[in-house]
Amino acid sequence: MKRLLSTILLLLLATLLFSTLTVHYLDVGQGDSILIQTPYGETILIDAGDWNQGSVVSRYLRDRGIEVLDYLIATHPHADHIGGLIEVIRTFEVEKVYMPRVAHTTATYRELLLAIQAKGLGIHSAKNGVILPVKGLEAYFISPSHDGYSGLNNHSAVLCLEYDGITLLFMGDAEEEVEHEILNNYPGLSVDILKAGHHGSRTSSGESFISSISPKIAIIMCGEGNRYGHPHQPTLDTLAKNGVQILRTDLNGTIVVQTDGETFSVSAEKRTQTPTVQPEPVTEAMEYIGNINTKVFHVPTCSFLPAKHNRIFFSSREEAIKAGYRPCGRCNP
Amino acid sequence: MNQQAQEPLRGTVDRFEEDFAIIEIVQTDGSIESVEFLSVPREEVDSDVKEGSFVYRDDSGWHVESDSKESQDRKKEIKSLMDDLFLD
Repeated sequence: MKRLLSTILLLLLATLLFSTLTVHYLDVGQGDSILIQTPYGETILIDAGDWNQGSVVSRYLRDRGIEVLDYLIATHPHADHIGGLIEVIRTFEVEKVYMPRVAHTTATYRELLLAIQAKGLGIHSAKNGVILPVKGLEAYFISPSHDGYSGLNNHSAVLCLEYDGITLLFMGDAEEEVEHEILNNYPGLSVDILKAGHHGSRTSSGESFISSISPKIAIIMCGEGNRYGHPHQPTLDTLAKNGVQILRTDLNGTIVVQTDGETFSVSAEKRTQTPTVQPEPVTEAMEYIGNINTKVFHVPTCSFLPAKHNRIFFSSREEAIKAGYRPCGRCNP
Repeated sequence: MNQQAQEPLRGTVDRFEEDFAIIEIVQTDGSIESVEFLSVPREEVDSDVKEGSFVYRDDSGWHVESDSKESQDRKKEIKSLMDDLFLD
Protein backbone atom coordinates (compact mmCIF):
# COMPACT_ATOMS: atom_id res chain seq x y z
CA MET A 1 0.00 0.00 0.00
CA LYS A 2 2.75 2.38 1.03
CA ARG A 3 4.67 1.52 -2.08
CA LEU A 4 1.65 2.11 -4.30
CA LEU A 5 1.11 5.50 -2.71
CA SER A 6 4.67 6.59 -3.22
CA THR A 7 4.55 5.43 -6.84
CA ILE A 8 1.42 7.48 -7.41
CA LEU A 9 3.04 10.47 -5.73
CA LEU A 10 6.12 10.11 -7.89
CA LEU A 11 4.00 9.90 -11.02
CA LEU A 12 2.05 12.97 -9.99
CA LEU A 13 5.25 14.85 -9.29
CA ALA A 14 6.70 13.78 -12.63
CA THR A 15 3.57 14.95 -14.44
CA LEU A 16 3.68 18.28 -12.65
CA LEU A 17 7.36 18.76 -13.33
CA PHE A 18 7.40 17.59 -16.89
CA SER A 19 4.21 18.96 -18.35
CA THR A 20 5.04 22.63 -18.16
CA LEU A 21 6.70 24.74 -20.80
CA THR A 22 8.38 27.76 -19.21
CA VAL A 23 9.62 30.74 -21.21
CA HIS A 24 11.71 33.45 -19.58
CA TYR A 25 12.00 36.81 -21.34
CA LEU A 26 15.05 38.19 -19.59
CA ASP A 27 15.48 41.83 -18.78
CA VAL A 28 18.83 42.48 -20.45
CA GLY A 29 18.31 46.19 -21.02
CA GLN A 30 18.28 47.16 -24.70
CA GLY A 31 18.54 43.71 -26.28
CA ASP A 32 16.95 40.27 -26.35
CA SER A 33 17.50 37.11 -24.35
CA ILE A 34 14.96 34.33 -23.99
CA LEU A 35 15.30 31.06 -22.09
CA ILE A 36 12.91 28.23 -22.89
CA GLN A 37 12.57 25.18 -20.62
CA THR A 38 10.61 22.43 -22.32
CA PRO A 39 8.24 19.92 -20.67
CA TYR A 40 10.95 17.25 -21.04
CA GLY A 41 13.60 19.37 -19.37
CA GLU A 42 15.44 20.50 -22.49
CA THR A 43 16.72 24.07 -22.71
CA ILE A 44 16.72 26.55 -25.58
CA LEU A 45 18.44 29.94 -25.35
CA ILE A 46 17.63 32.63 -27.91
CA ASP A 47 20.21 35.47 -27.84
CA ALA A 48 21.88 36.85 -24.71
CA GLY A 49 21.75 40.64 -24.95
CA ASP A 50 24.79 42.82 -25.48
CA TRP A 51 28.37 42.12 -24.30
CA ASN A 52 27.76 43.37 -20.77
CA GLN A 53 24.75 41.05 -20.33
CA GLY A 54 26.69 37.80 -20.78
CA SER A 55 27.33 37.49 -17.04
CA VAL A 56 23.72 38.46 -16.22
CA VAL A 57 22.34 35.73 -18.49
CA SER A 58 24.92 33.20 -17.23
CA ARG A 59 23.94 33.90 -13.62
CA TYR A 60 20.25 33.56 -14.48
CA LEU A 61 20.91 30.16 -16.04
CA ARG A 62 23.09 28.99 -13.14
CA ASP A 63 20.48 30.12 -10.59
CA ARG A 64 18.06 27.73 -12.28
CA GLY A 65 20.50 24.85 -12.13
CA ILE A 66 21.09 24.87 -15.87
CA GLU A 67 24.45 23.52 -16.97
CA VAL A 68 23.64 22.42 -20.51
CA LEU A 69 21.97 24.35 -23.30
CA ASP A 70 20.47 21.87 -25.74
CA TYR A 71 19.79 24.51 -28.37
CA LEU A 72 21.39 27.90 -28.70
CA ILE A 73 19.97 30.34 -31.24
CA ALA A 74 21.66 33.56 -32.35
CA THR A 75 18.83 35.33 -34.20
CA HIS A 76 21.09 37.68 -36.19
CA PRO A 77 24.59 39.18 -35.89
CA HIS A 78 23.80 42.50 -34.14
CA ALA A 79 25.69 43.07 -30.88
CA ASP A 80 22.56 43.61 -28.76
CA HIS A 81 21.63 39.99 -29.51
CA ILE A 82 24.95 38.14 -29.80
CA GLY A 83 27.33 40.10 -27.54
CA GLY A 84 26.34 38.21 -24.38
CA LEU A 85 26.30 34.85 -26.16
CA ILE A 86 30.09 34.86 -26.31
CA GLU A 87 30.41 34.48 -22.52
CA VAL A 88 27.49 32.03 -22.40
CA ILE A 89 29.11 29.77 -25.01
CA ARG A 90 32.44 29.91 -23.18
CA THR A 91 30.76 29.10 -19.84
CA PHE A 92 28.10 26.47 -20.60
CA GLU A 93 27.97 23.16 -22.36
CA VAL A 94 26.15 23.73 -25.63
CA GLU A 95 24.73 20.93 -27.76
CA LYS A 96 23.49 22.57 -30.95
CA VAL A 97 23.89 26.07 -32.37
CA TYR A 98 21.46 27.63 -34.88
CA MET A 99 22.13 30.86 -36.74
CA PRO A 100 21.02 32.41 -40.02
CA ARG A 101 23.81 32.05 -42.56
CA VAL A 102 24.54 35.73 -42.96
CA ALA A 103 27.86 37.49 -42.41
CA HIS A 104 28.63 40.62 -40.48
CA THR A 105 31.95 42.48 -40.36
CA THR A 106 32.21 43.33 -36.66
CA ALA A 107 34.76 42.06 -34.16
CA THR A 108 31.77 40.98 -32.05
CA TYR A 109 30.55 38.61 -34.77
CA ARG A 110 34.09 37.28 -35.24
CA GLU A 111 34.35 36.67 -31.47
CA LEU A 112 31.07 34.74 -31.51
CA LEU A 113 32.32 32.49 -34.33
CA LEU A 114 35.65 31.99 -32.54
CA ALA A 115 33.85 31.04 -29.30
CA ILE A 116 31.77 28.46 -31.21
CA GLN A 117 34.89 27.11 -32.91
CA ALA A 118 36.78 26.88 -29.61
CA LYS A 119 34.00 24.65 -28.26
CA GLY A 120 34.34 22.33 -31.24
CA LEU A 121 30.78 23.07 -32.32
CA GLY A 122 29.27 23.45 -35.76
CA ILE A 123 26.44 25.78 -36.77
CA HIS A 124 23.10 24.69 -38.20
CA SER A 125 21.58 27.17 -40.65
CA ALA A 126 18.41 28.67 -39.22
CA LYS A 127 15.96 29.21 -42.05
CA ASN A 128 12.32 28.73 -43.01
CA GLY A 129 11.31 25.07 -42.63
CA VAL A 130 14.18 23.96 -40.39
CA ILE A 131 12.89 21.92 -37.45
CA LEU A 132 14.42 21.94 -33.98
CA PRO A 133 14.16 18.31 -32.84
CA VAL A 134 12.81 19.22 -29.38
CA LYS A 135 10.98 16.50 -27.45
CA GLY A 136 7.29 17.06 -26.73
CA LEU A 137 6.69 20.15 -28.83
CA GLU A 138 6.85 21.47 -32.34
CA ALA A 139 9.64 23.96 -32.84
CA TYR A 140 10.51 25.27 -36.29
CA PHE A 141 11.91 28.32 -38.01
CA ILE A 142 9.59 30.26 -40.32
CA SER A 143 12.19 32.79 -41.50
CA PRO A 144 14.55 33.73 -43.17
CA SER A 145 13.34 32.35 -46.50
CA HIS A 146 16.12 33.69 -48.74
CA ASP A 147 19.32 35.73 -48.51
CA GLY A 148 18.28 38.90 -50.30
CA TYR A 149 16.87 40.92 -47.40
CA SER A 150 17.54 44.62 -47.04
CA GLY A 151 19.32 44.47 -43.70
CA LEU A 152 20.54 42.14 -40.98
CA ASN A 153 17.36 42.60 -38.91
CA ASN A 154 15.34 40.92 -41.64
CA HIS A 155 17.71 37.96 -41.70
CA SER A 156 16.54 37.19 -38.14
CA ALA A 157 15.87 33.57 -37.31
CA VAL A 158 12.15 33.57 -36.45
CA LEU A 159 11.14 30.63 -34.25
CA CYS A 160 7.64 29.24 -33.88
CA LEU A 161 6.87 26.99 -30.91
CA GLU A 162 3.70 24.95 -30.57
CA TYR A 163 2.88 23.13 -27.37
CA ASP A 164 -0.48 21.41 -27.84
CA GLY A 165 -2.91 24.31 -28.17
CA ILE A 166 -0.52 27.14 -27.34
CA THR A 167 1.63 28.86 -29.97
CA LEU A 168 4.54 31.17 -29.24
CA LEU A 169 6.39 33.22 -31.83
CA PHE A 170 9.84 34.76 -31.45
CA MET A 171 10.50 37.42 -34.07
CA GLY A 172 14.08 38.46 -33.33
CA ASP A 173 14.45 41.87 -35.00
CA ALA A 174 12.42 40.97 -38.10
CA GLU A 175 10.58 43.90 -39.67
CA GLU A 176 7.43 44.36 -41.78
CA GLU A 177 9.12 43.03 -44.94
CA VAL A 178 9.41 39.65 -43.17
CA GLU A 179 5.97 39.89 -41.55
CA HIS A 180 4.39 40.10 -45.03
CA GLU A 181 6.42 37.12 -46.15
CA ILE A 182 5.35 35.08 -43.11
CA LEU A 183 1.68 35.90 -43.79
CA ASN A 184 2.14 34.62 -47.36
CA ASN A 185 3.97 31.46 -46.30
CA TYR A 186 1.82 30.68 -43.23
CA PRO A 187 -1.59 32.23 -43.97
CA GLY A 188 -3.41 30.48 -41.11
CA LEU A 189 -0.83 31.30 -38.44
CA SER A 190 -2.43 32.19 -35.13
CA VAL A 191 -0.28 33.11 -32.14
CA ASP A 192 -0.95 33.23 -28.40
CA ILE A 193 2.25 34.86 -27.22
CA LEU A 194 4.32 37.07 -29.50
CA LYS A 195 7.84 38.30 -28.83
CA ALA A 196 7.38 41.49 -30.84
CA GLY A 197 10.02 42.15 -33.50
CA HIS A 198 12.83 44.69 -33.09
CA HIS A 199 12.22 45.90 -29.53
CA GLY A 200 8.78 47.31 -30.32
CA SER A 201 10.16 49.54 -33.07
CA ARG A 202 7.79 51.08 -35.64
CA THR A 203 9.65 48.97 -38.23
CA SER A 204 7.79 45.90 -36.97
CA SER A 205 4.41 44.63 -35.68
CA GLY A 206 2.48 46.10 -38.61
CA GLU A 207 -1.30 46.25 -38.59
CA SER A 208 -1.86 43.46 -41.15
CA PHE A 209 0.49 41.11 -39.30
CA ILE A 210 -0.91 41.77 -35.82
CA SER A 211 -4.56 41.60 -36.89
CA SER A 212 -3.90 38.38 -38.78
CA ILE A 213 -1.94 36.41 -36.16
CA SER A 214 -4.00 38.07 -33.35
CA PRO A 215 -1.76 37.38 -30.35
CA LYS A 216 -3.25 37.50 -26.86
CA ILE A 217 -0.02 38.84 -25.41
CA ALA A 218 2.89 40.73 -26.93
CA ILE A 219 6.19 40.93 -25.12
CA ILE A 220 8.43 43.84 -25.97
CA MET A 221 12.08 43.58 -25.01
CA CYS A 222 13.83 46.92 -24.67
CA GLY A 223 15.91 48.96 -22.24
CA GLU A 224 14.45 51.44 -19.80
CA GLY A 225 14.86 54.95 -21.20
CA ASN A 226 16.63 53.71 -24.33
CA ARG A 227 17.70 56.44 -26.72
CA TYR A 228 15.90 54.98 -29.73
CA GLY A 229 12.47 55.58 -28.22
CA HIS A 230 11.62 51.84 -28.22
CA PRO A 231 8.84 50.85 -28.06
CA HIS A 232 7.42 53.33 -30.55
CA GLN A 233 3.93 54.70 -30.06
CA PRO A 234 2.54 53.46 -33.43
CA THR A 235 3.48 49.89 -32.43
CA LEU A 236 1.83 50.24 -29.01
CA ASP A 237 -1.25 51.70 -30.73
CA THR A 238 -1.46 48.83 -33.24
CA LEU A 239 -1.22 46.27 -30.45
CA ALA A 240 -3.75 48.05 -28.25
CA LYS A 241 -6.17 48.48 -31.15
CA ASN A 242 -6.07 44.72 -31.74
CA GLY A 243 -6.74 43.97 -28.09
CA VAL A 244 -3.27 42.61 -27.42
CA GLN A 245 -2.06 42.77 -23.83
CA ILE A 246 1.42 44.31 -23.73
CA LEU A 247 4.26 43.39 -21.39
CA ARG A 248 7.61 45.16 -21.55
CA THR A 249 10.96 44.23 -20.06
CA ASP A 250 11.77 47.95 -19.59
CA LEU A 251 8.74 48.34 -17.31
CA ASN A 252 8.03 44.81 -16.09
CA GLY A 253 11.58 43.46 -15.78
CA THR A 254 12.02 39.77 -16.55
CA ILE A 255 8.76 38.17 -17.72
CA VAL A 256 7.98 34.47 -17.29
CA VAL A 257 5.29 32.59 -19.22
CA GLN A 258 4.23 29.10 -18.13
CA THR A 259 1.90 26.86 -20.06
CA ASP A 260 0.59 23.31 -19.87
CA GLY A 261 -0.41 23.42 -23.54
CA GLU A 262 -3.98 24.52 -22.83
CA THR A 263 -3.77 27.61 -20.66
CA PHE A 264 -0.92 29.89 -19.75
CA SER A 265 0.07 32.19 -16.93
CA VAL A 266 2.32 35.20 -17.02
CA SER A 267 4.37 36.56 -14.17
CA ALA A 268 6.66 39.57 -14.15
CA GLU A 269 9.41 40.82 -11.90
CA LYS A 270 7.67 44.20 -11.67
CA ARG A 271 3.91 44.48 -11.93
CA THR A 272 3.79 48.11 -12.98
CA GLN A 273 2.17 48.63 -16.36
CA THR A 274 2.79 52.35 -16.55
CA PRO A 275 6.07 54.16 -16.31
CA THR A 276 6.66 55.42 -12.81
CA VAL A 277 8.25 58.76 -12.14
CA GLN A 278 11.95 58.20 -11.81
CA PRO A 279 13.62 59.81 -8.81
CA GLU A 280 16.35 62.28 -9.73
CA PRO A 281 19.57 60.33 -10.05
CA VAL A 282 22.11 61.09 -7.38
CA THR A 283 25.09 62.40 -9.27
CA GLU A 284 26.85 64.55 -6.71
CA ALA A 285 29.24 62.09 -5.14
CA MET A 286 29.76 60.03 -8.23
CA GLU A 287 32.75 60.08 -10.46
CA TYR A 288 32.60 59.50 -14.20
CA ILE A 289 35.33 58.21 -16.47
CA GLY A 290 35.56 59.52 -20.01
CA ASN A 291 37.47 58.15 -22.96
CA ILE A 292 39.49 60.92 -24.59
CA ASN A 293 39.40 59.11 -27.94
CA THR A 294 35.78 58.09 -28.24
CA LYS A 295 34.39 61.01 -26.19
CA VAL A 296 32.17 58.61 -24.30
CA PHE A 297 31.84 58.60 -20.53
CA HIS A 298 31.09 55.73 -18.17
CA VAL A 299 30.34 54.94 -14.56
CA PRO A 300 33.40 53.46 -12.83
CA THR A 301 31.74 50.04 -12.68
CA CYS A 302 31.15 49.82 -16.44
CA SER A 303 32.65 46.72 -17.98
CA PHE A 304 34.04 48.70 -20.91
CA LEU A 305 36.19 51.37 -19.35
CA PRO A 306 38.82 52.95 -21.58
CA ALA A 307 42.46 52.02 -21.29
CA LYS A 308 44.18 53.88 -18.41
CA HIS A 309 46.07 56.28 -20.66
CA ASN A 310 42.86 57.32 -22.42
CA ARG A 311 40.93 58.26 -19.28
CA ILE A 312 39.64 61.62 -18.15
CA PHE A 313 37.62 62.10 -14.96
CA PHE A 314 34.48 64.12 -14.38
CA SER A 315 32.79 64.82 -11.07
CA SER A 316 29.33 65.07 -12.56
CA ARG A 317 27.32 63.95 -15.55
CA GLU A 318 26.70 67.57 -16.52
CA GLU A 319 30.41 68.29 -16.53
CA ALA A 320 31.01 65.37 -18.89
CA ILE A 321 28.24 66.45 -21.26
CA LYS A 322 29.41 70.07 -21.19
CA ALA A 323 32.84 68.85 -22.25
CA GLY A 324 31.29 67.24 -25.32
CA TYR A 325 31.15 63.67 -24.00
CA ARG A 326 28.28 61.29 -24.65
CA PRO A 327 26.94 58.76 -22.14
CA CYS A 328 27.98 55.16 -22.72
CA GLY A 329 25.18 53.10 -24.25
CA ARG A 330 25.92 50.17 -21.95
CA CYS A 331 26.21 51.57 -18.45
CA ASN A 332 23.86 54.51 -19.11
CA PRO A 333 25.62 57.00 -16.81
CA MET B 1 38.08 70.25 -21.75
CA ASN B 2 38.82 72.68 -24.50
CA GLN B 3 37.50 72.08 -28.00
CA GLN B 4 40.48 70.36 -29.51
CA ALA B 5 40.57 68.53 -32.82
CA GLN B 6 39.17 65.02 -32.48
CA GLU B 7 41.69 62.25 -32.58
CA PRO B 8 41.36 59.87 -35.49
CA LEU B 9 39.24 56.87 -34.63
CA ARG B 10 38.29 53.77 -36.59
CA GLY B 11 35.42 51.34 -36.21
CA THR B 12 32.80 49.12 -37.80
CA VAL B 13 29.10 49.94 -38.09
CA ASP B 14 27.18 47.31 -36.14
CA ARG B 15 23.77 48.72 -37.02
CA PHE B 16 21.55 51.76 -37.38
CA GLU B 17 18.81 52.49 -34.86
CA GLU B 18 16.58 55.48 -35.50
CA ASP B 19 18.79 58.58 -35.66
CA PHE B 20 21.95 56.80 -34.60
CA ALA B 21 24.67 54.70 -36.12
CA ILE B 22 26.03 52.22 -33.59
CA ILE B 23 29.75 51.95 -34.25
CA GLU B 24 31.92 49.23 -32.77
CA ILE B 25 35.36 50.37 -31.64
CA VAL B 26 38.01 47.81 -30.76
CA GLN B 27 40.55 49.05 -28.26
CA THR B 28 43.82 47.35 -27.66
CA ASP B 29 45.61 47.77 -24.37
CA GLY B 30 48.67 45.57 -24.50
CA SER B 31 47.37 42.12 -25.33
CA ILE B 32 43.85 42.85 -24.08
CA GLU B 33 41.24 43.79 -26.63
CA SER B 34 38.03 45.39 -25.52
CA VAL B 35 35.01 46.35 -27.54
CA GLU B 36 33.08 49.55 -27.07
CA PHE B 37 30.09 50.93 -28.94
CA LEU B 38 29.41 54.53 -29.88
CA SER B 39 25.95 55.81 -30.72
CA VAL B 40 26.72 58.49 -33.29
CA PRO B 41 23.99 60.84 -34.55
CA ARG B 42 23.27 60.18 -38.23
CA GLU B 43 24.15 63.74 -39.24
CA GLU B 44 27.76 63.06 -38.23
CA VAL B 45 27.89 60.03 -40.53
CA ASP B 46 28.28 60.18 -44.33
CA SER B 47 25.24 59.01 -46.26
CA ASP B 48 27.15 56.20 -47.98
CA VAL B 49 27.95 54.56 -44.63
CA LYS B 50 26.07 51.27 -44.32
CA GLU B 51 25.57 48.50 -41.81
CA GLY B 52 28.89 46.64 -41.77
CA SER B 53 30.96 49.54 -43.20
CA PHE B 54 34.47 50.10 -41.92
CA VAL B 55 34.59 53.76 -40.96
CA TYR B 56 36.95 56.42 -39.62
CA ARG B 57 36.39 59.74 -37.96
CA ASP B 58 37.99 63.07 -38.72
CA ASP B 59 37.00 66.65 -37.89
CA SER B 60 34.12 66.58 -40.37
CA GLY B 61 32.53 63.35 -39.11
CA TRP B 62 32.52 59.65 -39.97
CA HIS B 63 33.44 58.37 -43.42
CA VAL B 64 33.75 55.05 -45.22
CA GLU B 65 37.32 53.83 -45.04
CA SER B 66 38.86 52.75 -48.32
CA ASP B 67 39.78 49.07 -48.15
CA SER B 68 42.47 48.61 -45.55
CA LYS B 69 44.46 45.47 -44.91
CA GLU B 70 42.78 45.06 -41.50
CA SER B 71 39.27 45.24 -42.91
CA GLN B 72 40.16 42.81 -45.70
CA ASP B 73 41.67 40.45 -43.13
CA ARG B 74 38.60 40.71 -40.87
CA LYS B 75 36.26 39.89 -43.77
CA LYS B 76 38.43 37.00 -44.92
CA GLU B 77 38.69 35.58 -41.41
CA ILE B 78 34.90 35.74 -40.90
CA LYS B 79 34.23 34.14 -44.28
CA SER B 80 36.64 31.31 -43.59
CA LEU B 81 35.20 30.76 -40.09
CA MET B 82 31.68 30.63 -41.52
CA ASP B 83 32.70 28.20 -44.28
CA ASP B 84 34.33 26.06 -41.65
CA LEU B 85 31.56 26.17 -39.00
CA PHE B 86 28.26 26.07 -40.91
CA LEU B 87 27.19 22.47 -41.36
CA ASP B 88 24.66 23.00 -44.14
